[in-house]
Amino acid sequence: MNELAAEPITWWKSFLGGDKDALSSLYRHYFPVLYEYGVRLHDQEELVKDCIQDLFVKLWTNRSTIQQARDPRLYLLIALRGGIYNKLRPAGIRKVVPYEPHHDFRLTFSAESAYVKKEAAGLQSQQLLQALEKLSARQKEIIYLRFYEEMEYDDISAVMGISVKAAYKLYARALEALRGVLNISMSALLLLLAQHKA
Amino acid sequence: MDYHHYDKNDFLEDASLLAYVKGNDPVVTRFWEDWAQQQPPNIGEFRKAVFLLRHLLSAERINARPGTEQELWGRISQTIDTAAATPVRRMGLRRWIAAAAVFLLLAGAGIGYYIYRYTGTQIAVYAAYGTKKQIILADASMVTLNANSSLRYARHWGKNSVREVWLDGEAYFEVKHLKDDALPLKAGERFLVHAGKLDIEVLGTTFNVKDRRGITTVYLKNGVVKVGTNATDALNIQPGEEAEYRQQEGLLTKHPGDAGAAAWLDNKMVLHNTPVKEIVQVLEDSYGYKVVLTDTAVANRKINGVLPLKNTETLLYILSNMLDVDINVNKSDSTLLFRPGK
Repeated sequence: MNELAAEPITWWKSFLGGDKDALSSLYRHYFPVLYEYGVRLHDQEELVKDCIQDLFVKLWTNRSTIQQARDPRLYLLIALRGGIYNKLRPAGIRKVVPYEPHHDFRLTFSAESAYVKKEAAGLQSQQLLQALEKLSARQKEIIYLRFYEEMEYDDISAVMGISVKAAYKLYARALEALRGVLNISMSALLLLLAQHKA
Repeated sequence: MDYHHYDKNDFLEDASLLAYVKGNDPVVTRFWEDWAQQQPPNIGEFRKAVFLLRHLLSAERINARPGTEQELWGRISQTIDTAAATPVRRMGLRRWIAAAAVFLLLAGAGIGYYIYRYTGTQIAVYAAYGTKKQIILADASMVTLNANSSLRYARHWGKNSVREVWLDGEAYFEVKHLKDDALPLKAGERFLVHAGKLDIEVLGTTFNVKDRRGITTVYLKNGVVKVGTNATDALNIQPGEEAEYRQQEGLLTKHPGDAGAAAWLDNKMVLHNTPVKEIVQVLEDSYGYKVVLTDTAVANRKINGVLPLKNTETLLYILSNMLDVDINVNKSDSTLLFRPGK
């Protein structure tokens, strides 16, 4: 689902023309998305807030050289990820290298979730949640961008700084890691459902 | 769309199935429930995909604490305003010295003017979530600021300058009438409120301004006010009337107002067939709660009466009894969960 809302694009255009209210509207619209992604990437809230602040101040001061964004959310997510990386990079290293390997991507799958509670399958759920918890940080990140933020692979690859092919591969590996658990627990689950019906 | 040949992985890539699992579109939900009812041959693949998606989506969403967004924007806005837009150029040493000399001459005057113009005279007051603030302006006009609202204004006004203030949120104005002659209107007699895209011009009156979620309303108690935007014709409103501006549609209208508009001054909210969703908006806008309704039908129920706002616990107790819902308060992220009662 790649719906490009008309409003943010209009705001973007207006702020490039020097309208500070439009920048404020963009900020208010995207703050929740940026905040959540930021603290998932890096656990220190204050550093993430500083990075969001820098991002919007730079947008404003550099507005004469910034292009109209096709997708403001994508632009801001890429910029924020770069900003967080730059803050964490050891002082003195000027070369920009991809932000990896990061220590962690905060995505805690939980049996307490209303989604999981819809599946009355205690043991199967537990096994799947355990397998999910073992995924790598980058696999968790791609799952977050794909299913929570509902981004397409080409956008995900742009945010994560990898090729589209690598994004597909990363996702496929994550599914592969879950397949064993899923097949065993699903056949058990379907059997259970069949018995229940009978 | 023919889903009968989909396997688990195809289902996982399907935006409509993701919307079904997230459950925020009743039309999509109906479609998939009907589809599964027909016992299609690949129902097993469908179940696997749904089972996996429900677990993939089980991580709790992360929200900033209430007020964080506002506080951070304050920081950004201030940095932008104070960063003097000085273009950086590379210069030789001699030109540097010349520039420095000129700079020293001008700096004294310049900095002085800058401080006078931007820091000495402008004041911004913010009333936090769940609080109110009373402000007396230089002309003795009084402004009561509602929760999560801010007002920017000048410390002093010249005798011949328009009295001008900028509002973000909601406030009640009691403007001092300065016109005491029959001569044409002078600048110093005008009072101007900017709220969202709306400009509200008055002489001396009492009125309530609310600017939330892209809708600006002005309820007039006494006197006459004129409201307008850059893009619309101005409207005059009479006591008891309310002007409403919808930013998205760019539409300015007026209609008979609700005398309860300023009831928040007495820590009350007056309800006449008021939909629950409007009360939810007040809980979110003024108290910083995030409200989750497990049964969305509640949002459209209408209730009558007077809600006391002073004490949040009392308010929630009364609401839960009126609506017959359980309200759970999650203190860590300020979420209110409304669930159908027993």
